[in-house]
Amino acid sequence: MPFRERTAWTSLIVTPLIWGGYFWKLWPDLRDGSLQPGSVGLFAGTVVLLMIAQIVMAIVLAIFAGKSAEAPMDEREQLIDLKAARVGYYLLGSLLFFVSALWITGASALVMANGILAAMVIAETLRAGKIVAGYRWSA
Amino acid sequence: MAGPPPIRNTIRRLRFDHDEMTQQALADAIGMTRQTIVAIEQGKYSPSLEAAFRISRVFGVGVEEVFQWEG
Repeated sequence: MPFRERTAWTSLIVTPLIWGGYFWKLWPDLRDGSLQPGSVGLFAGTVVLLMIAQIVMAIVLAIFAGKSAEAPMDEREQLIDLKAARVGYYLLGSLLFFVSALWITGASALVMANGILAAMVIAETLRAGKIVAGYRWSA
Repeated sequence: MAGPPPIRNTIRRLRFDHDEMTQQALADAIGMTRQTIVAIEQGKYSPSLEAAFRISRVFGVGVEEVFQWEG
């Protein structure tokens, strides 16, 4: 399995897992409309956890990948990356449109911020999934 | 997802004819990954014109001897 496909698999698993945990904890407050500024601590903790997880996974993958981790992308890998980025970009744009509609319902800045965060997580997960699919079934 | 392009290739045979050149050796010769060579050989990916010329030069043949349009 190519190094970049492994990296995409890592992102595909780690991103929804960690941010899923964050939203799982946050959901009762979001549902009740009782989200407090203290939830920023949970956000900061999740970001730190994600950074640690990604650094550890990147080191492990680089060790096993050897020289291939340093090799530049070839044209097929670039195409896979571009196609995935395009899908992720369109999804992010669409989701942000819906999140912005929350403003009409009088959602607080915290709810809006978490909506934007959820949109980014979903878009990144789809992007990683599209990269994996590109490598599995070619470009 | 779009189907495979109507292009077949003779890379497998050409590698065989060149002392059973490995996919990795061909990949190294043209600056690609082995997985991309596998995808090209299986007809799952159509290389750029530049890559097609690079592959044909490795084998010392013309591009049309490596890739054939089936459409």
